[in-house]
Amino acid sequence: MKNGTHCPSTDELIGYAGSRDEDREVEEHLRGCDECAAELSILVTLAGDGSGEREVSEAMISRIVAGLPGPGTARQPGPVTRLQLLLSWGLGFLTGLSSAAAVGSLSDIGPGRVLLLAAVFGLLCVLFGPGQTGRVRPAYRGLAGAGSRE
Amino acid sequence: MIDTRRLRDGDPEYFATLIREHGRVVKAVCLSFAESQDDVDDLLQEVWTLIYQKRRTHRGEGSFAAWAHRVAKRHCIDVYRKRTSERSGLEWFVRNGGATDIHGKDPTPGEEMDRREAERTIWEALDALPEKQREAIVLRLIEGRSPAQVSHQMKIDKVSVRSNISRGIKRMRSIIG
Repeated sequence: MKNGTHCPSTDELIGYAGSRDEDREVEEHLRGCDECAAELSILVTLAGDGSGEREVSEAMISRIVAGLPGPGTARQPGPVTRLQLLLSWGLGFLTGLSSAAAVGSLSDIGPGRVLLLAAVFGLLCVLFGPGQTGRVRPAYRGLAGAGSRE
Repeated sequence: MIDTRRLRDGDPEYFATLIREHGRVVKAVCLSFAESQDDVDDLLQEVWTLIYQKRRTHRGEGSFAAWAHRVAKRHCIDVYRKRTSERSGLEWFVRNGGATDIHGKDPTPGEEMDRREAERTIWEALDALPEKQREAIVLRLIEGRSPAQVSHQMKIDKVSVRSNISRGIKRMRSIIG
């Protein structure tokens, strides 16, 4: 009991907020009851003002549906960090190094060329290969895209 | 009731139906976080695309609307935090030419900012409610369904619908302070 009148129930406040009818008893009560006024403001925010601004137009629905990825598309993984890219390159480099060293021991190429071949192989892994995470190429593109937006 | 199979299959026609039925919930959240009408449209597109991508994570047990609300709120808060960390509120208003008029009113920049902040607090409080209370509030108040429809969808009687809403609103009030 506040302001000489009973606090309206949530149902009554919903009805009051939705009907927009004058209800002097509720109005009078709200002027003197901060708790009910706070409750009403929550209800009004949740329910909207009934102006139709929350309706989604058919044009907007078409736009949303047209922009959807294909049905088989799951959520895209987030962009890979530079550290992961570095690890991919490192892994590629080591693989290239061991392969080149193995080939070098057979064909007697110099250590400089072995290192060069390993570095090139690492770079190719980052750019085109599945790499350590299996999504290095999209990640590389993601990084490039992020860079261009900044 | 949600056709879980069609949702999981990613049927675009069915997805359009879902947007028609539950679009109000998502748009209500987007309106509170958007900076302009164009921004509302962009947020709507982003949120619905996110919902589509996450569709397989909806278990089909709770209400789709309550789940969609949660996805929308989280995405909008992420976007909002990113923006506010990039610039101050004052810069935001200068950049937007003072008060934006997406709600059809003409408040001062300060009033508009306060109102939006209050709305965001309410959306966050809603998200903090227990599932049943949140679901009842989303269906009854935001989607505007009748108590009978909410009762049918939630598989509880009308008295429970009313008490869930009432307890939820009171709890939100205490969360907001």
